[in-house]
Formats: sequence, C-alpha cells, structure tokens
Amino acid sequence: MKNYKGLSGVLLAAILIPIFAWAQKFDLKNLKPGEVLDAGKDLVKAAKPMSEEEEIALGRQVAARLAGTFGVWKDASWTERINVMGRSLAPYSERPDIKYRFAILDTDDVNAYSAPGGYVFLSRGLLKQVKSEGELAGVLGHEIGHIAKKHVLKEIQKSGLWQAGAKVAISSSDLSPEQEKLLKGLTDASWDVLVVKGLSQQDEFEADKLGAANEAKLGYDPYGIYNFIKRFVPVETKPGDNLKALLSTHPKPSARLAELDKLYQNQGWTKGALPDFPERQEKFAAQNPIK
Amino acid sequence: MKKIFFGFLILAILAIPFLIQPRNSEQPILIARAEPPAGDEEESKFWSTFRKIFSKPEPSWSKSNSQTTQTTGVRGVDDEGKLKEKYDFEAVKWMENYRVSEEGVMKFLKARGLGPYQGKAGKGEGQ
Repeated sequence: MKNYKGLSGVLLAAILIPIFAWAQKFDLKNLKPGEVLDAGKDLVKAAKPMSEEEEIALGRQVAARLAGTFGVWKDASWTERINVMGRSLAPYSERPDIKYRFAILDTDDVNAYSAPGGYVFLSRGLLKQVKSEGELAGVLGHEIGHIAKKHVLKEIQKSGLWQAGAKVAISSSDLSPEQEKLLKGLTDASWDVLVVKGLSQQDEFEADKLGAANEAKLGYDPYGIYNFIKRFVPVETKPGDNLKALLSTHPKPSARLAELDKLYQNQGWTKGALPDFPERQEKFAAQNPIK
Repeated sequence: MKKIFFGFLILAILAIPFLIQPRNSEQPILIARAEPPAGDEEESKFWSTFRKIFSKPEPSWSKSNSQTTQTTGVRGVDDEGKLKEKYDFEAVKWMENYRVSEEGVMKFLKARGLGPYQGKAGKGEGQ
C-alpha cells in the first residue's frame, strides 16, 4: 500500500498542475468591471434565438453567395413556374407567415438549396430531371420544409457561432473588423451546412416528409417527391458528376424512400389518389427547353 | 505522506518553466472587442498540447471556418485562391423583387383543381 503513496502524489500533481496552468490564463488582476458587465450582457443576448429579421439578413448573405458561386439562370418561363408553384405551396407549409423567394441556379448539378429566411434555389440540372408537376412540388415543399423548421439555423446555434457580436454584425451595415469576422463565420457555417457538409439525416428525412405533406395539402399526389428521389436509387452507389454533391450531402435515396414509406403508411396515403400532372410538366418542358 | 509531498514537489518544480510561459490567449471570439489571437510562432508547445488534450473537439466545419477567417476578408477570396467566394447581391435583389400576380397563381391552381379549387378542376386553363 505504501508503494502507491508516491504514485498518488504524482497523479495528484498531474491533475492539479494543468488546472493551475489553465487558471493562469485568466488575467484576473486586470479585469475591468465595465468589460465584465458588457460581456455578461452579450452572453445573455446570445442565448436568445435569432429573430426573423436577423434570419433574413443572414439568409441574404447565404443567398448572395449561392447566386454568386453558381450564377442565376433568369429564364422567364421557368422562374415564373417555380415562383407560382412555390408561392402556392407556401400557405400550406408549416411556416406560412414569411416571404419565400425562388430562383434557379445556373448549374448542371442536380441540387436544391434553402437559405434561412425564405430563399429557395433549385438548380437547372434538377429541373431537367423533373418528370411531373408533383415531383417539382415535392422538391419545392422539401426546401420550404427546411426553412420552416429552421434546420440551418439550428446547426448554427448548435455550433456556438451565434453570439451577441454576430447578432449585431448581421443587422448593421458599418462593420468593425471583428464583426466582419463574425458575419463571415456565420455565412461560412451556413454555407458548409448547405453546400459542403449537408444537414443531418434526420433533418433531411423530416424535410422529405414535410415536402410530401405540403404538396398533398395543396392537392398534388404526395408521392411526387417519392417518385423524384426514386430516380436516383439505381445510381446511389455510383453517382455521375452532376449528382455527387446531392448524394454526398443527403442520405441515400433508398433510405429516404424507406422513411417516406413510413409516412405514407401512417397517413394511409396511396399512390395516385391525387394528381401529379406528368403530361402538363412534359408539355411545359417541351415548350421551354432547358439549355 | 512524505512520499506524496515529495512526488508533488518534484513535479511542481518541473512544471515551473511551463507555468511562466508568456500568456498568449487563443480565446474564442465572444465580443466585438476581443483581442486578436496571437500568431502561431508565439504559441508554446505546452499550450497547444494542452488545448489538444483538454479542449472540446470542434465540429469539422467550424475548424475550417477558423482557418478561412484568418486568411480571408469578408466577402473576399482567400490568399491561396482555394475558396473562390463570390457574392451576387444584385441577383438576390432581383429574386426579392420578383412578383407573381395573384391572378396568375389563381389561374394556375384553378386549372389543376389545386388549393382552394380542390375537387373542382378546370379544363385546359393555364399551362
């Protein structure tokens, strides 16, 4: 037993020394009462959720980066189509009280993005893959679902980036270098969630279900989104270049279909009970060919 | 008891050089007035090892942020040209100002029997 005493001393020291070292980081003697109070107030503010105005301000930054990176395809007919359909779906969504805006990204990649505050982007490549209005409504409903459930914002808030300084930064035009860093950090984090890393599987499954529910409420076949996702099952292990980004940031299509199946069973929805208008979509696409 | 004391004393003496290292705090940016982080060359090995062991792991994307924040300006491009960030606020303004007429939406819905027209589909109206 005696032999362990020396070892215990060493262990105790090994625990205490890092604690002293850590405590030394705090310059307690030079703390200014005003700064301590300000920091405290900022922490209290940081605990508050993002307001709608702040969400839109952040969404603008992210939307501008999406538009700047991919470019916007301003085709009059297709822009009108997605805006009409999107704005028809919005009142039936989980969050009908904000303004949703829709645009097309000028890329062959098959993908869609929803920035906080109501900015929805579908890619030109995605529109080429859509075979019915129900499919398009399902995709739009999925993106609206992400915004309604504030999926990106939740990731930001989890990350700890949502701080009082950042709150000030996104709503002011004249920024200090520190505020610029914070704003950059928030925009980068949103970008990484949307474009690089993707949202969590749970959030994607939830958005799929919201997309199906949203289109069903409007009157489309809730299997629209199912049919669209199903198209990518055969290539889920070997996606082409235009699908790599989508499949790396979303769960496997087969897993998404399995989750949707659960919803359909729970709701008692059957395929084809409501219309999805493939012929209308085909006619529209033929009249307005995508480059 | 003596052994405990001596064991502690020896380690405490050995740790003194580490404890008197210059303080170069890498504090998280919490408030706008936060001091800028110290440069890497000033970083003592002790503190970097200490942080690795005792700090919470950051999410991977958060790590990449801190790197880009160091090397880029807001709305800019990094020095190495790795992240070609471009922002198009004009396109966002265009998106925000895009108007869809209520009449156009209602015509679309009516033609398909959607929304308020569910169960009362029109024929051939709208595209």
